[in-house]
Amino acid sequence: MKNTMPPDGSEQLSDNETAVYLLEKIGKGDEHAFADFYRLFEKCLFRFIKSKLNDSFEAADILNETLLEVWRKADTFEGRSKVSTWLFGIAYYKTVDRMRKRTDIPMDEENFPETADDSPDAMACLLSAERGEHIRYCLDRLKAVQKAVMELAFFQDLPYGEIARIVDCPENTVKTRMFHAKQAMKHCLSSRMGADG
Amino acid sequence: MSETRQDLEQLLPFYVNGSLSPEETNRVEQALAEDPALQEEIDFLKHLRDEVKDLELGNSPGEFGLRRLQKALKEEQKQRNSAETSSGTVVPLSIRGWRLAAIAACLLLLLQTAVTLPMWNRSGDDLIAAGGGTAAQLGGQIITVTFVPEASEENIRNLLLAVDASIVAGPSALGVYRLSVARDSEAVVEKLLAHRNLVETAQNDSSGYSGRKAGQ
Repeated sequence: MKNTMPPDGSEQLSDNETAVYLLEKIGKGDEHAFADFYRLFEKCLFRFIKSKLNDSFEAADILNETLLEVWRKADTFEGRSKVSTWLFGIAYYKTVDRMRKRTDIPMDEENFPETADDSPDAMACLLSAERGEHIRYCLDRLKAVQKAVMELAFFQDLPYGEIARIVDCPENTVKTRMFHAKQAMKHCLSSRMGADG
Repeated sequence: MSETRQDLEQLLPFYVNGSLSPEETNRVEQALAEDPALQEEIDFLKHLRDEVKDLELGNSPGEFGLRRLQKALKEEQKQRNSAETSSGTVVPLSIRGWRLAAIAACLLLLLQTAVTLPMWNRSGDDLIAAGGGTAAQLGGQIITVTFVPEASEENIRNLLLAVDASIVAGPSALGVYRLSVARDSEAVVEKLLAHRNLVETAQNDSSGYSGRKAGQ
């Protein structure tokens, strides 16, 4: 199989440098580079999309659409941001567009109060045996925009500036959304412990 | 302006994921030294991050997804190629066939016109509409007629058969019909006007007759 990854012996490239290298080749129509690019980002991109849609089939559709867009627009990438920022931005808009067409996913309405809750129950919930189930339950009830920011900050470990470029909003908005998402999670986890108790 | 507690708390998730600038990291650590309560907040965020990372969201499409993508790419390329071919200089065989057929049809039409056109000026010849048995006697005389609103189709039909007239045009928006008659049109107009229960007006178009109402 043709190897399109950067040549061995060169300096260790960062993920972004590798992605830029592959994008340049994709822009010239290199299908092998496209396959490598897919393998590099497929898992984290799928997870990001799925975290908002909660539907594996639809998430796979959007993953497919996002990467087709990469194939079509690879030669327009100007390197002003990291490749992952550009890529997640495409996926984010495609996901939001799909969510608008569905009526069963809340977009911006408040699903549960975000009032600060300093009860130790939230932490206890995170340490409980059923924490995975509790986290999943509470994440599902976050606003879509908060869920996106939390996924990008805690799963992809992105800085707030990069998240702001992906979701196309001011940096302060990202920080505020993350703050409110944390408050909402605290409140939800505390109430879960209350329900268990 | 001094930094509020909330401003600082908003940096904590990014302190936990290690993405703050060195200057912002210093600010957080300084605040942490002054307010140990912030450590609880950081501990909570660290646990939350670990749990989010461990959360299983199902298997990604993997190689199956790649094959699907490659298939979609091939389809797209095929469509692009066919679009380029149809707009370019290379004309497919099927399109060339249609062009030849169109040219042949045009030549046939030209030949037919050349044959039939001289016949139009020959007096006494009628052109028969190919579509029906109502011989449109274009070489005959034309009468314009209107019927009373109460006239039934059966009565009109019987009258037209009696005077040997055919409808060649109409009705117009005002209910005017044009009739073609083979015989003396003046006599036919008289006959039509005699049926005042059916005919409202009748006029001989062939002779420039000004028209009369039934009963006049």
